[in-house]
Amino acid sequence: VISQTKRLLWIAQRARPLAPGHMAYLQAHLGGLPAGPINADEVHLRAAADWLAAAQDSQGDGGVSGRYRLASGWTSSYPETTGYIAPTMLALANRLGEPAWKERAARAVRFLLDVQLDGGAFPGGEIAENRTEPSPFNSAQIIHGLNAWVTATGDAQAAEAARRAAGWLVGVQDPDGAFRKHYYWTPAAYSAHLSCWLAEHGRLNHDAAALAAAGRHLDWVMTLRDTETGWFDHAGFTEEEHKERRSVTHTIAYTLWGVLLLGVLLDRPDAIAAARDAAERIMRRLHLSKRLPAWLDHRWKPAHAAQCLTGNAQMALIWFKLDELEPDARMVNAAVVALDQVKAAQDLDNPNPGLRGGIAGSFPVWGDYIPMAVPNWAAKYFIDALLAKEAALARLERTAA
Amino acid sequence: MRIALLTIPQSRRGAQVAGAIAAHGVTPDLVVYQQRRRGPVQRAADIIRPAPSGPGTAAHWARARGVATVAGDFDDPAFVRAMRERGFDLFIHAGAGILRKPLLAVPRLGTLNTHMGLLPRYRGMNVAEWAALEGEPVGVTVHLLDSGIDTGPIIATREVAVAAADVTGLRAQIDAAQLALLGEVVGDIVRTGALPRPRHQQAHSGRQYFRMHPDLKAVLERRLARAVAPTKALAA
Repeated sequence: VISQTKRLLWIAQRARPLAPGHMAYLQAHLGGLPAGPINADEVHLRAAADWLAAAQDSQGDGGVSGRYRLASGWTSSYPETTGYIAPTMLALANRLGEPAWKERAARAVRFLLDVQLDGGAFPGGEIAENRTEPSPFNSAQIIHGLNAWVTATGDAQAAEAARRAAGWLVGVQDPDGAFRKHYYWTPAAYSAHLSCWLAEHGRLNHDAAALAAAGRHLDWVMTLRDTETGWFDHAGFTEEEHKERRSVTHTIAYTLWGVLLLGVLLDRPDAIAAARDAAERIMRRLHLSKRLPAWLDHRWKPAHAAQCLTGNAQMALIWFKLDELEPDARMVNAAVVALDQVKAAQDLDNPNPGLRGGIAGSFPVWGDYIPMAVPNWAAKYFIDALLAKEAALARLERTAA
Repeated sequence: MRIALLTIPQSRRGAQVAGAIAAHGVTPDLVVYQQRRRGPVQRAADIIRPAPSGPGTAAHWARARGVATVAGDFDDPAFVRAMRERGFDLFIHAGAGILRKPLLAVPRLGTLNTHMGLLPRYRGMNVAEWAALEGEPVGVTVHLLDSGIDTGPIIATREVAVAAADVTGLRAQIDAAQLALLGEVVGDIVRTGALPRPRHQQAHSGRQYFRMHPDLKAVLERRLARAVAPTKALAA
């Protein structure tokens, strides 16, 4: 009772129900499952894109605000996610036929170049919290964004920034392949989502050292795999999660996407098979639970009642990718089902631009993952997944024809 | 041979299955209704709004043909014991929900079930749609129930050439095929007094399918409308 009361007080202190749109937003989260309208993908895509634009415009430095907090509004620019949002902006420019999105990506890249540290790394966390401490994981997400920008524009300054960052990453890797130095919290399997961008950098730039480092890291991650259940140990954020062998779907999906992409880029069928095995088990969980629980344990059983909406979108991307690699309509089906949950949780009519079109960290918004906030990476992955859905359904249509 | 049909009184499926085996000269000795224990509110609701038992239902079919019926909770050990004492050879599952191991162990030969897909490849839900979407052979299976989902020994399979222009038509065609196959299988068992040699499934020989999302069903609808769903030859 005491902990429940504390929790309710914590939520109440952060809810600001009188702020524009907050009350309606909170009311929509009272049901067990998201119950908003599921419209055509185009409607949801446009709303999420508009939210992303508002998040960038809320800051004056070209970066994208990390999140809209119910308690305090927009936070400062987040280098890591601004980095991997740049490719999403480029994709929106193509998909919507709107060059303004490319201009937005250019502003994001300028921001990133401004905050790069002397040694080549990028700082962790949001920019108002930290400008000096380097982060391997965050640097890798930014390398991915810079490489997408370089591929689209040939920008030599961004190419040099990516090269320096990749060099720094290779330099801080431990001999056994793990990344422990400068790591926030504790080394984890989800750093596969670091090395996959190192591998991508290596492929794009013929950087043998980056490719070798990515391969060493994949070997290290694969040692964490439970061959009986397909689970990856240390997939979560904290020591406690590692000990209890559970993780939020956001970092499970980071792990699986990383392992999958590493498998593709380094020609490692064992990694692709491991990602497919886990994705299949999560697909089963999605259908049995009729939603994707925010936390799963090593037997893929629910360890939390809420949903992690970005985890839904990230898993959708993994299922779509697996279908792309080897046609499996069940994977497309799971992805579309998981995305429906995100669509139903998206507020399309809220008068507050911090809430309208954004995707909450959790559903309900007071769930344990990024509680009482709407993070920019949830909108990013949702947009990426909706674009991947278009491609997957087009593939299926072609197969059927 | 003593045969019982497992269903619920209002089940149309029960009546369809009973009709399918009757077409092969077989009438069940007993129609057994699944009747879960109900609380006072549910019992009151039953009085206010009784379950339908008119034409087309299992209850109507049994009444019209004078077939004995019995109702009970299939998970109740006393009911299972009573069923065992009746000495049945064969159960036929016809819309009675999930059956658990103790009841499945009662009949000498086992409990027959129909499935709208070709086992072992297509397990789970919407399997006719999934097979058609994937361009794989579409068909039906009669199998014995075990404690898994569509994992029991296979008694018979039959491929179906899709002639439907939409998903509703596809399902109707498959449903008719599974009833026909079940009728033939039961007729053969009664005539020979034995099961055909069952084909045991391997756990990993099939895939589990789940409810198909409307977006994928729409792709299938277009495919069926274009009549471009030729079935491939059934692999040996």
